[in-house]
Amino acid sequence: MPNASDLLKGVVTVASLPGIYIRLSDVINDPRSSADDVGAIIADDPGLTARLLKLVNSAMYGFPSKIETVSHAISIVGTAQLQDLALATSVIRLFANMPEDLVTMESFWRHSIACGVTARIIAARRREPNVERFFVAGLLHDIGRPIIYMRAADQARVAIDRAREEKIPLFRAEQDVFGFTHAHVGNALLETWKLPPTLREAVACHHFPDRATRFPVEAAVVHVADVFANALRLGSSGERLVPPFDARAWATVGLAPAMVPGILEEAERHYDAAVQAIAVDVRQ
Amino acid sequence: MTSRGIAADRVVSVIATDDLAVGMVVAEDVADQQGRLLLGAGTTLTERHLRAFLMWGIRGIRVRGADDEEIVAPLPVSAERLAEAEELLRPHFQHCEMSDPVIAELFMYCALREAQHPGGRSSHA
Repeated sequence: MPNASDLLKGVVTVASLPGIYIRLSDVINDPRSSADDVGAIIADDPGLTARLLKLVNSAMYGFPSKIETVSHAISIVGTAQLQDLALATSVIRLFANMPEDLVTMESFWRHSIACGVTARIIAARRREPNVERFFVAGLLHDIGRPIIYMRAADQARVAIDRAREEKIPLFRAEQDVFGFTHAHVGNALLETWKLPPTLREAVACHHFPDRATRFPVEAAVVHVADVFANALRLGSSGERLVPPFDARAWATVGLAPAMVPGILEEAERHYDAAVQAIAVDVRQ
Repeated sequence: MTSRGIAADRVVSVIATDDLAVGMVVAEDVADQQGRLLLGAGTTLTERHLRAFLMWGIRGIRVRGADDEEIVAPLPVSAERLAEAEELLRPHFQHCEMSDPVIAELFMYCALREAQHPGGRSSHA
């Protein structure tokens, strides 16, 4: 039986991370570089520039005046944050030609964006310094699923049918059928892409946040955001139930339960704008 | 089922700001969007509080008074409609511990949303 990494072999479309992320990393990690250098790399890619400006002008940010240039966006959002946003708006395009027999990519990305937006709001309530990191972690949490649907469609269908018949969460059915889950596949993909360990652990542990040893807060926030996004039924990655909720993750998040309605309301408000900004060209 | 039945189930009632009245007792701490505490549980509402809620953008709070005759229609939807929505959503939540306070808030939010906009934004494929 193949393991989670085996599924990635031969997946040409997702073999390498969007080049833009690596180029941005190189510049941001170079002590001699400035915000202008970061801006120049982004401005080189008109599609990315348009998506980023659309995103930072959306309800998610609520800036009073329009942000018209990349340099203005950098001065407000920050370079590290903009790098994460560049990843968020670029990664979707890698999956443009996925088969859609089991779950449409639109539905998949809608759920992913709902989770990302919710994770970002929870992080903001916690006053985290880089909320975009949480947005990307939420956006990527189920990224192993389209890989499974593409590389092992027949077994994936068995898992989806079993989850429906036995009324169990899909990740448990995946575990039964494959011996691993989409979280393992997602982690393997992010490892291939050499993405930072914060993102990897948040993705790997989003169903079992207590297993996160290095970045428990990231894992807990994405866990909660995934439960909320599934409850709101904004898109779906194949799951039809609200996944089991780990109350210890909420304790790690450290917010009052009374804040939940406000978080959900804000997530619903920001969701449409985020879908418009980053997924509008999913099919291109 | 009447709205009084709902109130009895829940001990506390969600009351929209417009429907709040002087003398109601706050059941849970009221926080703003950033989580700052505005009003502690147990506070008796005054006219000043009601005006402040509007200013602070608080849309509704939970008040004590499950068996208070004054509270007739505490929710923006009918109790029947809410009960229907809860029945519809319950299977979706079958793997969640419904007594958990976070899940209780989540379920209530989803049920109210479903009751107000049946089938609403569901984009389940």
